[in-house]
Amino acid sequence: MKLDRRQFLATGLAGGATALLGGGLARAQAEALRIGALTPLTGGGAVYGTTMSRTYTLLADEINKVGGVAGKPIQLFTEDTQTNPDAGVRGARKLVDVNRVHAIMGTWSSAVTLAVAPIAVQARIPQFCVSSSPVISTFKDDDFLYRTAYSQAVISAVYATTAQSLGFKTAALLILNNPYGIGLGDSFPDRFAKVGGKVTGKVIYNPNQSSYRSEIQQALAGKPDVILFGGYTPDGIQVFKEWFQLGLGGTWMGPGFAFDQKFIQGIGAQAAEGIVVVEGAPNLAATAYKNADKLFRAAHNQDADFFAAMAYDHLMVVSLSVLAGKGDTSGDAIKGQIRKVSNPPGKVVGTWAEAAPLIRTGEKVNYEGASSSCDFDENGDVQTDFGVYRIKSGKWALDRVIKFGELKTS
Amino acid sequence: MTEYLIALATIVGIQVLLTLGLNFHYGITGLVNFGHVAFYALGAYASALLTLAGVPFLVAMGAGVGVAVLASLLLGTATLRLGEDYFAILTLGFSEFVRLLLLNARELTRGALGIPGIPRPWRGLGGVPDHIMYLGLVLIAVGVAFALCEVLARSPLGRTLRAIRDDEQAAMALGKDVLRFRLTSLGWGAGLAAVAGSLWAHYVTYVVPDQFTPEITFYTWMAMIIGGPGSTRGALWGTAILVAVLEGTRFAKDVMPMIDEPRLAALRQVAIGLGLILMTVYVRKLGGRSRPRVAPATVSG
Amino acid sequence: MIAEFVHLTVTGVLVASLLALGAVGLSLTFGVARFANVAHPDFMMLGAYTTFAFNSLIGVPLGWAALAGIVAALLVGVPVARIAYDKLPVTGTVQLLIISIGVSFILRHVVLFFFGSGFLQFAVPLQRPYVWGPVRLTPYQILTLVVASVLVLAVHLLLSRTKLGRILRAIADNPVLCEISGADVGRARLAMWAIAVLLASTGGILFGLNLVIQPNMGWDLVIPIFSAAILGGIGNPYGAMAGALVIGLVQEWSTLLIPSVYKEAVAFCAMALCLMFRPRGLWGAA
Repeated sequence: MKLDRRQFLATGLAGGATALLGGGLARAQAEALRIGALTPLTGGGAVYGTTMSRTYTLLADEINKVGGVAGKPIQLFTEDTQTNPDAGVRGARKLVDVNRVHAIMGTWSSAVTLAVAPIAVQARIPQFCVSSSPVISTFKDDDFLYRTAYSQAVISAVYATTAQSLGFKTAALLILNNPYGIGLGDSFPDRFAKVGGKVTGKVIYNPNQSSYRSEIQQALAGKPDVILFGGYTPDGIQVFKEWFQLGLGGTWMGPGFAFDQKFIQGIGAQAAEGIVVVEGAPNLAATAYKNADKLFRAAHNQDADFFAAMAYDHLMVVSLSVLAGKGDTSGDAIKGQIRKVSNPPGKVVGTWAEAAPLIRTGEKVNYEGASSSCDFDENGDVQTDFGVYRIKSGKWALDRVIKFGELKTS
Repeated sequence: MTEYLIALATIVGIQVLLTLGLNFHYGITGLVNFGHVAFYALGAYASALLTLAGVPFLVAMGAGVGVAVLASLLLGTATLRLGEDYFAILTLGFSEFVRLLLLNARELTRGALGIPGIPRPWRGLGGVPDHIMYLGLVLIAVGVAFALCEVLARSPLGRTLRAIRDDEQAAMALGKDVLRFRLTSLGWGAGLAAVAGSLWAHYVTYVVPDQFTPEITFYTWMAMIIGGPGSTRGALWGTAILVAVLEGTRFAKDVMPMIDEPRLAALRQVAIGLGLILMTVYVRKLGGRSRPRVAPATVSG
Repeated sequence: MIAEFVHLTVTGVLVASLLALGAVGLSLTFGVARFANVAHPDFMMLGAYTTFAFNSLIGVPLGWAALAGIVAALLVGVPVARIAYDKLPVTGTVQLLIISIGVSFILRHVVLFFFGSGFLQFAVPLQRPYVWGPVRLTPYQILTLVVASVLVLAVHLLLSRTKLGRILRAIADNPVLCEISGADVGRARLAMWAIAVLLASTGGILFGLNLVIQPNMGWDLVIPIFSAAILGGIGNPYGAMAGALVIGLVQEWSTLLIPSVYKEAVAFCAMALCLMFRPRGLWGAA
């Protein structure tokens, strides 16, 4: 089979034509709530993106089964950011310009979120992200950028308070070299100093290394009471495994999305015993979380993790906002309703079945999300209470709750 | 849709500049540069940082080109005397080295946080919509680069470079300073990549080291191979086809909904890999021009 | 300080033992097939995943799963290498280099298609280390060092003591002459790919034993493995062993002086610096 360049040209053009045709088809179905699910499906964030993308599908199906949002079915357009800002930008352009989506959701990693945000702002549609860099709070977004993950500036205060209350005097940081890890590394030492603690070592590591032994050794040279981990599940398992295999001391503390069920399974319940987990507090009890968990478990035989919960919240908030706006899908209309449906006052709701009848009768609702209470502040950030858990026999056991109001975050 | 096509045209235009640069390296001179993205990154960062410091756009872009050319000369001086496989891997390593530097020199580059809010030049000038204005700017850059490449390829410099590519020994025998000519070629290509980087930075208004992974280099290689290495015009439509295929596969799932998204994304990458192999095998121009390797023993003898 | 140095040295040797299993095979194939196979580290990934399939999915005990995994990796990897690198109508080193990038893309994403992009682990318990002063090693880490040393020694014996080894070395020196003299070059290349995949997949399994596996694990090792092979003088399997050791040690020792985020960059600089003075590597033909 000799293929010459002319044939290639023909193939390329055919591909282009398919592209245009596909776009035309999408546009013909005007009467739908079009959602752009822009998550990493390949590359470093693929684990989380896959979970989020699946959750959007599950929730969209659930809502569509009962007639959609104000008579409009939810139509999902999924794009892969490849965990890469460039691919994210190209995907976002396609979603905005071709599919004419009414909202973008699911951008993971602050780099991708910040690359995509200007496009969403320019198109005047809301964007929901799960990135935690403090920069996102202050980004000039015309109030179109929302996040369901908490900012590192907040979580640092939580860690400091927790460490103090558990009697830890010295801490070492093992943090991933990305905006989230760096943000934590920048803000935690001051917070910890304010409550009388001392950071004895801070090591930033690059992802995907073949060994972290030297990093661990370096960070723990000062024999700290607590090891604050700022990474994700995959690198968490690697780093923890090597720490364990070195037989060094100290108690681990970190976020719930890193020390999730996969992590505990990965290292074994015995090794995980006693790890301090800090996570948004109310989610596990909320009906939103229970529903998300039910959907996810039925379809994929797995717990809904933190990212599934956040994805559930994104689509719920947008759907509720459109319903409250009587089916108006313009970005400005959605934006105008987001805080009305998700912040107090109002009747607490967590599922579409609970919320939709109330909104239709004109009652004010307060969406209590699966990942947090989903009360968006003026920066589009959520304010959430935090639960401090210890891992006991492979499960998180609640130790205490830290109210958002207790934190001195400034 | 129109906006999408404008965005695509802008992306194609910027990618064309990258391809033209690589075509200078490999297509014309035979340098197996696997670290092209390094020059792109340097151009983008230098231009972004300087513009934010108040330097006018064109000056910043020029500085970006300067930084990239300087880096290419340093790299070339250190590596061009080595065999082409060594050169390939060293350039690949160099691009990762540059990315690590950008990631960790936090005082200068803000590291993993990236640099947001890079201004687009001449925004709102003459009431032309922003994206059309920018497409115009990119097209001008492509036009200038294209003309430059055509002129250079036909100039005595281009002829010498091709002679070195086809028969290094003969060129040397004719008294050509092979190393110096290769350095010149490396510099030109790096400069074009830096222009592309600068245009990209001001287009997406945000740069971060994650944008500059070796995948960019490999995509550029694909574009050049599709168009036929050595052909300036080929760089144009090779890039256009590459972007059409990359973007076209996005629409595949609108037609093929039965596979779930993550799997489809994986298949897409498999198809890209397969495409790369088939292109390499069946695009003749590349196949017809391999230098026979000289056994190490004979060289060092 | 001395304790820290010893610790880093141990870590460096551990890293080197994994790199060596990749770099030796890479160097061998480079010497014989005369191109840089970028997909080589993906054979490590392949071995790790086939073993995972037998171990965690089917429930075969790890030892047997590893054997079955290596066989499976050979059954997949060798035909892939034969078709992509030996049978396609291309000759130039650059074309083969680019084809190998395509092969790497395909291997990685086929695995991603079947196993997903998440990290996976073998069904083995976490181990506490034996502690001898500053030296801390788990049983699996000791196993890793032993297996890597044995395999590297086996390659040495194969190259120096067997007929196949003589033919492979002869092809590396002069392929044309070797063919004229009547050696079965095709069969030798088949054996070469088998050795390369065997070493790499074993390395991948050892990697998985100590850490976690991901589809990108091979790709992430491209630069360190190539650094080791190049530093040792590419095409020279003995050099590759030494190269791996140098890379492993320099990388870890460097963390004493500069932040560890630069340690991959340090490996690259070591390689670049070495090539400036020894253009064919430390142990290249000189």
